[in-house]
Amino acid sequence: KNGDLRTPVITIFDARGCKDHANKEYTGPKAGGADDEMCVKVAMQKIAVAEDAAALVLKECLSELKARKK
Amino acid sequence: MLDAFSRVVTGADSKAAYVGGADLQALKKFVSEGNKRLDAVNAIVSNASCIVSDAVSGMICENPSLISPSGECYTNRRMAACLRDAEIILRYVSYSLLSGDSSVLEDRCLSGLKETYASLGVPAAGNARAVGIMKATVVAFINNTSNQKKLLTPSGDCSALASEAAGYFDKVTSALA
Repeated sequence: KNGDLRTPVITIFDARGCKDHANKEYTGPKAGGADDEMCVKVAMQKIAVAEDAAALVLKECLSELKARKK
Repeated sequence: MLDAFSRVVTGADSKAAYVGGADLQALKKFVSEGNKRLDAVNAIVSNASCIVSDAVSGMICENPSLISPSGECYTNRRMAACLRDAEIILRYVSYSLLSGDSSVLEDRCLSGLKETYASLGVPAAGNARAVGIMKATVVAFINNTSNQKKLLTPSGDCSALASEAAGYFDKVTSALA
């Protein structure tokens, strides 16, 4: 709206029980439980859809419509 | 712009009262079922592009004139704009579900949306149908009742969260009508 196409993009990091790496996403005070191994990130990002992705959806629609005609 | 907590605090503040009773119980439930809510949000955001492309494809298959030379999704550029708009709506709905409140969706996404689409000549019926398909898909993902895709989340009753998400989609549909 009004040329501002940025929207909240949520990423959920869930590393509960993971021993492969040290969790570095969250740097605040620890809760002492499983919550310390999770983090939620919300970033305002510009959403853009490439024309080739749109072409793929169009291709999908055309093949579906073609299959329905048969 | 509010969330589940700030809405309760603002409401209590306007009545010059302490937070308590049913409001406090609702917030306790919000916290205790936080992981369930995060799983529901994750189900949406990790499948966002799939949900959006399915909704737009479904809308077009039901109304193929949209991709005819005079249609609103004719040319890849217009189709890309349609996918982008659907994704923006889905992202705002996912944020509403995360925060437990629809004020951000209403203020930043729905306010003036109908007028913008009307001025661009975008048909409301097509939009409403795409939103309806996204609603059905999201409800199926949250309840994990999708036929073709089962998510690896702990089992549990998520019907309340599914109804909450459906309510946000209904707000979008009402705003476009």
